[in-house]
Amino acid sequence: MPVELPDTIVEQEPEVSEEVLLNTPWMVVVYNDPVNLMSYVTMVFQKVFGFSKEKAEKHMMEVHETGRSIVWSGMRETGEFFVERLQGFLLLAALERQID
Amino acid sequence: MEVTLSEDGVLIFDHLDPFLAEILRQIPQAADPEGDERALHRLLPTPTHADGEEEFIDDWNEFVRPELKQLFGDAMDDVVEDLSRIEYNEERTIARLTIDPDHAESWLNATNQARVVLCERHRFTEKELESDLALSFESRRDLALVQMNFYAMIQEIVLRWTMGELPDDDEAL
Repeated sequence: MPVELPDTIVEQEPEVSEEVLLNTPWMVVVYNDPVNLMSYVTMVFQKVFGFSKEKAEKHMMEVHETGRSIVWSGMRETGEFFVERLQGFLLLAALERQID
Repeated sequence: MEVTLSEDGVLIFDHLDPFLAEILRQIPQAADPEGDERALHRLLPTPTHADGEEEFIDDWNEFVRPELKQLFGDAMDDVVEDLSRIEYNEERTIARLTIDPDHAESWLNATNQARVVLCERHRFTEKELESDLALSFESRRDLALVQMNFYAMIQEIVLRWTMGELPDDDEAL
């Protein structure tokens, strides 16, 4: 039996529920800039995230060598709080969507 | 310049050359981004590069930016207060600056504001900032580089102070 095709095919975007959007993980990224001293960046990571000196230095070196480091990931609201804290220390920080 | 820590925890910059004292006095002006969009954007950058976040960015600009500006302003006020107390000897050949412990974080913040703005205003490259201090003053830009390096040195000292890494027995650094 022949199948009757519609005149136009409407491509539907997959629906994304509000709950899924709210639960999308976010990450706080710190970008390299030539101004902030390495020791200062390390201190800020320790102060804002409570990192050990070793962990803070690891992230600082990642920023320095690769241009950026993901310093935190999780719920959006907390991420916004951390971005504000980091920017308060003059670090180039932004909130980005986590890409799987 | 001699850096010491007093018994009551005050950081003292003594035997400071008046030229260096004047460079310190320039911190508030150096940190002012007025008239330079790049500098202003660097001081208060976007909170996200993600697509579709225009509303979030608008809210950020309305509510968070003023808080950050206030934070930067408060830090600068503390530094201005300390700078206003710089003492000179009778011949005005030596200056002395003291910083109370509760102003340490403000000094880190204010010197960073100044360095960020100077860097943007004069378009310094990473290579220039990492090069040895050139003591030739052929332009305002050369002077700005000296400012940046001196503020970095002050930041390092204050940072060591806040981390408890300065000798506390009045031993000059």
